Amino acid sequence: MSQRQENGAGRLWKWLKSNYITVLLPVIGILLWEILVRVFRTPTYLLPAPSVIIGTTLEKIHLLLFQSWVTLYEVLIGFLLGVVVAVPLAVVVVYIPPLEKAFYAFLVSAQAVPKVALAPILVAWFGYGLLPKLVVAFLVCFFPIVINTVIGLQAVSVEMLYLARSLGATGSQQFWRFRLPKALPAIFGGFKVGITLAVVGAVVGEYVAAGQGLGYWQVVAASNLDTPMVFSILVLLSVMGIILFYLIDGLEGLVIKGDPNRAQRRQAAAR
Amino acid sequence: MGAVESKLSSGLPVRLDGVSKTYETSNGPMRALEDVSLQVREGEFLSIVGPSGCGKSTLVMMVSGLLPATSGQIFVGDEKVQKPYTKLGFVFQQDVLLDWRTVLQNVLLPVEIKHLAPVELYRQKALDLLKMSGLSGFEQRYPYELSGGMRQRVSICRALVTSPPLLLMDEPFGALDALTREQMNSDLVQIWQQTRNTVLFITHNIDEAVFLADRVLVMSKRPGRILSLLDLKDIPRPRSLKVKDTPEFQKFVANVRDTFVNQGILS
Repeated sequence: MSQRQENGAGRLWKWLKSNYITVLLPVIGILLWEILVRVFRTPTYLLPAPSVIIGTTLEKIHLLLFQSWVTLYEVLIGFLLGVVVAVPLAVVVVYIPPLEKAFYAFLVSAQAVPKVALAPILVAWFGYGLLPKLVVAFLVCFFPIVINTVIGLQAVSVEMLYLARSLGATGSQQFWRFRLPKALPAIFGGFKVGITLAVVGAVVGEYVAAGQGLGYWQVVAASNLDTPMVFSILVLLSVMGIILFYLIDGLEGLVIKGDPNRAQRRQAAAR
Repeated sequence: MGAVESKLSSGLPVRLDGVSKTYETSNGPMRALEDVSLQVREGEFLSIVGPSGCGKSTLVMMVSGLLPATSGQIFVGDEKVQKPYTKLGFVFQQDVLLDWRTVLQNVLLPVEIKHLAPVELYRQKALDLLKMSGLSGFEQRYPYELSGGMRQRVSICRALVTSPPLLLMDEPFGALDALTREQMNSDLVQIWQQTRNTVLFITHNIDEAVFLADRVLVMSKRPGRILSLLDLKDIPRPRSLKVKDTPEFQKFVANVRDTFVNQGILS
């Protein structure tokens, strides 16, 4: 109870006290990086000091934020397309068993194809606009979502289906009240893998052919030996991936109730 | 509560006529149940005890209509069971609670699925059942916060919330430790003495079978046949765990055990 009454600063202090190693390690790492680069006078085009990277980021913040938005847009649309196609497809596969076999055969071969290597082909087909980036982002995030959703929908136990049937549950009740809620943890697992992969997909799309976006600017910076800019973009992409991951994690917390693993994590965090 | 108790039976009779079950397996047909005929009286608590794999689960599955009989007929009340019979409560060995629902929401699941009204009345019924099961204060908890015994109590409340005339229990306490099991037996007797629906209770625990039941059906090894049907009216109700110390109780337990010994099931 007392935890709930504490203010934000109090909570932050408490968190820092129990997680100081988590915070301290990266800080020490960055400081060490800064010191070593200065001591050994490493050329900036090889490895810029953290202070230089931060300086570059702040100096070009307007450009970087706008380019981040371009990439984020591709990531989000690609990911949403992935969700909208993958989840219903998984439902169809689970409900039509002959499809499942055929689908798995297709899936195994499709998994072996490096999706990012399709990017040049997609450019040839769809040109230099938004579309090829969306398609790459879509393709890379699509598979983990389908697979996890199928596994999740099959996770319902025989006894639970007996229960549903002995209650007289209709087909749609069996899906909405038993199968789907049971599958949600696995589905969200797929979303989390998918969203980080979608960032990879969008950036690769931009590497291959683009006039804007973080990936495009990274290629430009690299060819100019503007290594601080390359690093700056790398940091932004990582931050984007982390934020998107935790957004989905937060959404999962809102949607899924009574998940023991989640509750344990929450308790561990409060301790 | 007095009103409920005075109404002696709210159960339906169950009748099995020459029921057999053969499973098709990869090693050819496997006879699970052989010509079982049986009459369960309305409001009767019938324990079915037998060795593992003797087809006792198959028997209740067929009564529930979840599994078709290979031959023979099953009636609940006047109704012939041909498809899942939904006017019953089913308690499985696993509690099969839905993790994402609170205790109260789990108990109310049948009401929701069957669109029963008025919801407020069933809600009160659910709360009463939970209270009777010693789960007051846990209504808003999630299943993972409960012990195994508490979870199984919730699943029993769920089976009882619609006041079904027939309750099927398939080794409901099989996964619990001995002490919890003892307590659950005692609690189940208390609850049933108020609900008085017809119960088919599957177990492989002789003690439990005798303690709970009006009659005990003893089954053979596979393919399951009826070996004997014991009437336990000499063990008076209401019962408490103390009844296990009486000579009558021990006589019946010995009787069932002897049947198994004679059949070579126990030695």
